[in-house]
Formats: sequence, C-alpha cells, structure tokens
Amino acid sequence: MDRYWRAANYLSVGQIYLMDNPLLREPLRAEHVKPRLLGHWGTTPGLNFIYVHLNRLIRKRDLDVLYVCGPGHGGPAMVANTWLEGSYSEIYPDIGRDAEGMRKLFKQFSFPGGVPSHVAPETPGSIHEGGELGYALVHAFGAAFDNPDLIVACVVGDGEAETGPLAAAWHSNKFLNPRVDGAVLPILHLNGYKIANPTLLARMDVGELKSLFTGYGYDPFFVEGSDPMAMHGLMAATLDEAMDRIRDIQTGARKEGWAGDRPRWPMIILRSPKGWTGPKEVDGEKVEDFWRSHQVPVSNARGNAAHRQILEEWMRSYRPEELFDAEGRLLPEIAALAPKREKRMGALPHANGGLLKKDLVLPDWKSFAIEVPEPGGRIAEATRLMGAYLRDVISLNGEARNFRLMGPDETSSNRLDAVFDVTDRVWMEGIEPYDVHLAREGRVMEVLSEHLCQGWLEGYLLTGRHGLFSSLHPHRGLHGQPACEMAEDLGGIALAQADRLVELSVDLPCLAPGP
Amino acid sequence: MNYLLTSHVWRQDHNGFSHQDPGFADFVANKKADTVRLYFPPDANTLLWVTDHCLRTWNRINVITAGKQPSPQWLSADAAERHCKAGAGIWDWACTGPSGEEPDIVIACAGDVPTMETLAAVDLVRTALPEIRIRVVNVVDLMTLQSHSEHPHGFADEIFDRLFTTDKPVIFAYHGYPYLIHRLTYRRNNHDNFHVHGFHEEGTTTTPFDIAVMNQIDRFHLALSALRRLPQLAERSAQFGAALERKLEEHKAYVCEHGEDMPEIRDWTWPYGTAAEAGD
Repeated sequence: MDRYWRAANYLSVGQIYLMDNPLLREPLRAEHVKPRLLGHWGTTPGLNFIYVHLNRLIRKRDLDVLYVCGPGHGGPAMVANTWLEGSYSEIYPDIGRDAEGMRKLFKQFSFPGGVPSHVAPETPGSIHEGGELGYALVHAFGAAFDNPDLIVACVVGDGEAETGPLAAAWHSNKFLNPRVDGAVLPILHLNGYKIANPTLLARMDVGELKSLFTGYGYDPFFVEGSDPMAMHGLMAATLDEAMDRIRDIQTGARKEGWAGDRPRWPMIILRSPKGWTGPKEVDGEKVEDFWRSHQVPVSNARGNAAHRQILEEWMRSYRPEELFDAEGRLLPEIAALAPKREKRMGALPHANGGLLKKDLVLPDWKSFAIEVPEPGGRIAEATRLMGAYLRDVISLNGEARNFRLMGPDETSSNRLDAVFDVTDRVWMEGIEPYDVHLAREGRVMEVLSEHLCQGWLEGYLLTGRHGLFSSLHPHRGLHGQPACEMAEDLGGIALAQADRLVELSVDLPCLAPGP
Repeated sequence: MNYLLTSHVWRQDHNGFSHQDPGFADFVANKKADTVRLYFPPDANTLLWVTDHCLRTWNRINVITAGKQPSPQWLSADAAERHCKAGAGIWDWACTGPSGEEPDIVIACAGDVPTMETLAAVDLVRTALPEIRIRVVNVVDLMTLQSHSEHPHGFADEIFDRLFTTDKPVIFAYHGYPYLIHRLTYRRNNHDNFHVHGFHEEGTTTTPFDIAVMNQIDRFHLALSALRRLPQLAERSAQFGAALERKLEEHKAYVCEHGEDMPEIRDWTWPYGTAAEAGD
C-alpha cells in the first residue's frame, strides 16, 4: 500500500511539474519542466493517502464508495488515482497506461487544451467541482439520500471548514435516515494551513475540537502523525472501526423494531502534514508542514538548476523504478490493490448520475387545471394548484424514491402543502406530539440554510435523481452576486457549480446525460 | 435543477427590503444558454404546464418565478398550453382596436404582478382613449426574447417582429431588474423603442400595490408611460395624464391613512370577458 501511495504521489508531482521524461529515465533537464508551474501540492499527498486507504476498504468489504474531494485544489490526486486504477484511460483512451500515456497525463495538467488544476466534472468519479469552498459535505449528503447501499467518503479540508456553508453542513446528519439512506463518512483533513495562514480548526484546542464535533452529533476518530508506515496502520485500523460502526448503525436501523433514534455517526479527523513527503525546505525556508507547500513548492525548477535538483531528488524519493515497469506500467502486484470494475471510485455509476437516472412518472397536469371561463373571471393561488400536482408526483414516484422537494421552510408558505397529504418533512431530531408533518422519513427537506438546500439537491441530482428547490425570493446578497466558479458568494456560487457540472456533462465522455 | 421562486418582490406584506432582490434571474441568465431557462407563468394553469415541462427535462437549470397570492386567472388549460408552448404571444382578448391591424403601441409583460398591472393599465387607457390600438404581449419563457443565435429558445427575428413590431413603442412590465430585458433584446430591430419597467430597488414593507407604485410598474405609471410614447394624442392625453397623476396621489394618501390598498385597486377585475374560450 505504501508503494501505491508513493505511485500516486509521484504522478501528482509529475503532473504539476513535468512535460517530458515522465519516468526520469534520464537526468532532469530544463526542457522537461513546464514553463508555467500551476497546481496545488499541499493537500495532494493527504488526498492520495485517503484514496489508497479507501481502495483497501472497498476491496476488503466489497463497498460502493463515492469519494467527494472537498479540497478541490487536489486535482492531481484524483487524476493520479483514477489513472492508476485504470478508470481514467477507459474514459480517455488517448491517455494510456504506459510511459507515453504518463507523459501525456503529466503534460495535460493545468496546460492549455488539457485538464484544469482542480477536481472537475471531467475528473472520473467526481460530482463536485473543486476550488470553490463550502459545498463538499452537502453534496456528499445529497448523494447519500435514498442510496441505502452507498458510502460517501467526504474529505473536508480545514480551509473549507472555515466557511459558513460547510459549518452548517455538519447538521445534515439530522436529515439522514439510516434505514433508507446511505452513509456519509466525513474525513476532516487538518493539514494545518491554507494559502498563507494556519487554519482555525488545526490550531484549536483538541478538547474543543472534539467537543465541537461531538456537539454536531458525530463520533470523531483521530488519525494523527507524519511517519508514513505508522500512519498506514493507524488509518487502516480506524477506517475499519468506522466502517464497523456504520454497519452496526445500519443493521440496527434496518431491523424490525428500530426506535428511530438519530445515530451518532463516525467521522475521521486526519491530521497530516501539508505537503507531506515533499521538500522540507527550499531556499532555507520551511516548506513541508507549512503553508509554503500550498501550491508549487519549488517554484523555479525550469530556470534554476538548484531548484531542479530539489525537484528531481523529491521525485526520485518515491523510487519510481520500484513502482513502474520498463514500459511505464504500474507493477501488477501494486495494481492489484485497486478495486475492480465499477467498484473503482473513478468508475462508480453513482458519480455518473446520467447512467442511473430514471424518468419521473408524471400525472396529467391538465387534471389539476382550473376552469377559467373568461380571463380574469376567477381568482386562485397559482402555487396551490402546483402543490396538488406535486403531491401526485410524490405519490407516483414513491416507490422509486427518486424525487425530493427542498427549501428553506417555505413549502407551506408557498401553498404547496398538498404534498403533506402523502409525505412529511424528514427530521431525525426529537419530534413532539404537537409537531406538524415531521417524521423520520419524508420527501420534503426543510432547513433555513439555502446553502444546504442547494447543495443537497445538487448532490441528489448529480447522482441521477430529481427534485425541486422551492423558495421565497433568494435573499439579497445570497444569490445575486456576479459569479464564476471562484467567486465568494454562496447560492450564486453553488449555482455556478451546478451549472458548470451540467454544462460540462453535456459534452463529456465521462458523464452520461445528467440532471 | 429546478427552482420555484415565490413570494417575490411585489408582495412585501410581512417582509421588506431583504426579500426584494429579484436578481437571481439575472445571475442565471449569465450562464450558458444551452442550460438555463427562465419561466414567468402569469397564472395557475400556465404554472402547471411549466412545472410539468421542467420535471421532464434533463441537463437544464430551470427557474420558475410564480405567485402564491390569490390572483386573477387568465388562461384556460388549453389556452395555457398553447401559450406556454409558444413561449410568448399576443393576448388577442386583451388587445384594443380592430384585430389584425398594426397597433399604436405594444404593452408587454412577464410575471404575474406585471401581467395584472398591464391589463389594468390597458383597461385605464381603453376607457379614456378607446381609439388607441394597444397590443398586449405576454412572455412566459423569457429566453424567447434573446436572439435565436444566442439561445435555443430565442425567437427568430421574424417572429419577434410580428409580436413587438419593428417601429412601435413597447412598454414592457417585467418582474425583475429592467436591464435584463434590454440585455436580452439589444439586437432586436425594435430595441430602441423598448421602455422597460421593473424593480428599481425601491420600497420595503408596505401594501402590494404601493410597492408596485414605488417602482413605477403599477397600472397608473404604465398608462402614463404609454401616453408619453403616443405624441399624436397631444391635448387629450394631457388631461388623462393629469387624472392618472391625481390617482397616484390619492393612492398614497389612502394607503398611509388606511394601511391597505384602495378598494378600486383591491377589487379590480378585467371587465371585458372574452369569447367562449379564454386566451390565446
């Protein structure tokens, strides 16, 4: 497993730096190095570490695992791992699993005409566009709803954990029903730093940190250290324990006589160095385990021979000759560690919602229409009729469990309450006898954070289901920002993400037609 | 991805300025044309058609803006279906003057409150100046306004020109920020004659009609705007215009005194009916 991780790290560094000489068969020369070095190394080794350990878990327990990569800067990690497991080359046959394929894989990264620096819709196995922060965990929960056999492993970076949407997203466990929904395993990755600062959660007192997540309703398991071999043992054991806990919860909830209590789901707090296994120092300044490893730790590897030497030593420290054969293929005994076929996280059908989607069964809308004998001759509330229509949409698709109505507590205010003739609001917290239409199961999800509504629905749709977001007008400053994928704002940003995923999915070979 | 947005700008009975941003449509309109759709069904049957349509689509971001308040209904189910499938169209039953003739002015609308105010404005003008030929155009699918080369739902220029003419003034009452209509129509032949009324960031918690007045999307301002674009009326319009201005003052005094809209506003209905089947 350590060799697999080293291979992923080697490929990640190669993507950031190299355009030729991928296996370092000859000494590294300036022309092998890209003229513009663009990418993010800091988060990447941790993401690779998690991927490798999830592979082990999938193989051991025959799981369907969706990997939601919150630190979207970690594009090299997801590309490296899907190339190692083979799913990448199946979708992009031009990038073969040999030395020439590796050369192209390296060159295309953050390169004109190639792939973006972030995890993106074109990354196999991804439903989450990285780079903007805040939505990883809500996307994970959205994917888990009504997918009882799915495990969603969601990596939350400690930078992203400082955002409002992500802070609210921890409460999603109050809406996840262990009997009918899948499980989300949050992995909070504390690598300690963001761009030029430490992160809040990494510097918090450990007792407070534990209390925070206990307070959110989770059972945090800590995996901390920097020695690779010790960390492998710790991570494997912890993932096993967390998975046992998930299975216990699900088995209990899926038996007769389940009391309906909200379970205390496990989560993992992984503390590992930023830029782990990279250069310790460059030009006399601390790099590994510090924010200087955030992007490109050796910044002038093309023009400066000393920098180039650091890069070459760094890449050779992974001992590529022990990982790849003469043709550049991953050695068979290492390749055998990856899951097979659709169990590979890059080939998971849930991450390609278009493959799984089923059309909704819809009623005849005209049967809900009102008589209008002459214009203006009748007064009605338009959305009340829509509510009756949606009630039947929910009934007709009840068995398929593939439609949800989400919104910030406005289903009734919006006159859609006819839906409560046939369903309830899902709610895993306490329910009082006088509460109205709250239940452990329900097609309606209401929470005041529009970020959660938006993100849940995106995760739900991108895994092949249907839904409707019902709201008053989105609030000023919430959705109204000029938006691109990197803008700061929330609803707008989430929409930008949905839009990007939708628009790209129209043309991408890796995605079937989506939501 | 389907959105339903209700309780929009134009009803601030319980809320205020923070609930008034209709900019979501502008934001969505920035996105790639092959994915985004903006619908403004003016009544219940059109809302049903649009909802049903959206739930049948994939790879789309559909935004439906609709009202939840008790409101007049305009179209039967069949008429709603024809109208929504076209995306926008002339409401013959609301037009004045001989059918088939070029109008003197086009009054267009998108959104439930703008539609009601448009029809009420037509009623005012028709009563005072019956010889004016007004064409009423209602837009459900906002992207029909954009050029066909920019959006797959965009009307070809011939169709657009048939609705909006190439040279007549167009008063457009739009639910959101007016600039979006200009953005979408700037390449159209008649764009120079478009005068859009929409949300101008005015108002807070007040009566439903008052917030329309503050943003000049109400029937009186729409009628005044129409008059300004019909110079041929000269003196007669001056008298009518003065009456409309007095109505606006009367309205303000009334709501400040009573806390609700004037009865003639609250109880207004479209008084003309139509033939056997409503709408077209």
